[in-house]
Amino acid sequence: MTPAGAAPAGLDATLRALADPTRRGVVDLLRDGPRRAGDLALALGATPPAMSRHLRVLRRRGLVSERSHPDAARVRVYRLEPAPFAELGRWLAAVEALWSEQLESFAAHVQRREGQT
Amino acid sequence: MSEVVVRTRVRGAAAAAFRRFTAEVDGWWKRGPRFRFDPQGREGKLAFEEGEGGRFLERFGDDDVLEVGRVLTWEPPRLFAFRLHPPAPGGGSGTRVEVRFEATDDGFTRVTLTHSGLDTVPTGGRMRALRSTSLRNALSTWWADLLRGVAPRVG
Repeated sequence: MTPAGAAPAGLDATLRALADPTRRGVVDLLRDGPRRAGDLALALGATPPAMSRHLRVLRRRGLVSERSHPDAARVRVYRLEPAPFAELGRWLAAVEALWSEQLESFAAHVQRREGQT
Repeated sequence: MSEVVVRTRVRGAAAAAFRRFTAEVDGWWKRGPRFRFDPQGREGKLAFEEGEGGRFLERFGDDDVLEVGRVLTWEPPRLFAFRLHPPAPGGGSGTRVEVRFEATDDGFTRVTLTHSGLDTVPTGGRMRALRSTSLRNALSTWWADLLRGVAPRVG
């Protein structure tokens, strides 16, 4: 079961990047809209250097991006990026399609066998 | 959504469906590289060893056996669960497949298969904590929430 047995490398990286409560906290907060690194650190009780490391991990994986604030170009804000989440959704859809085929095959097998008895 | 759920209905009692699902796995598990396990593409015979802890095997010959999973729960006629090993070393702890068999009033059995993909997460370091069920459930809820709420909005 190829998609079922192993997530694609990108998805693995996504899950690894999210394997940390602070980074999951960042994603949760960014669901409500873009935020500055300092705000995120404060909200999650992390030191600014620690937050900066977490944001680097998320950014490298493409889960968040850093942009200028629309009203103040000098202020940098972080926002969520949809692509990795879409990838996760596609992978789940592929796994579901595989199991649908499998269960159809199982149902056909049972019908064949029950017909014989 | 951290897992996929697929259902079907088969004629007959739950006990029979359980037996056919497990003992006759090679008769219904689909063939071909998308479904079978050998990296070289050989096609063997699949078998579950009965009982909790039993191996899920693909046999190519007497001494040529590939362990592709382990039985986690063996509670006939209602519940069967197994772990699918990751295909490559270091690929995480594998994924969990749970199958429920429920009799219906009209002589059929409803089969519900749930494949949790979260366990593909590598188990090194912090992720070992995921082996604890409550944490895994918490994370699973988090994913569910995330994919329902975030993905459509940012996507």
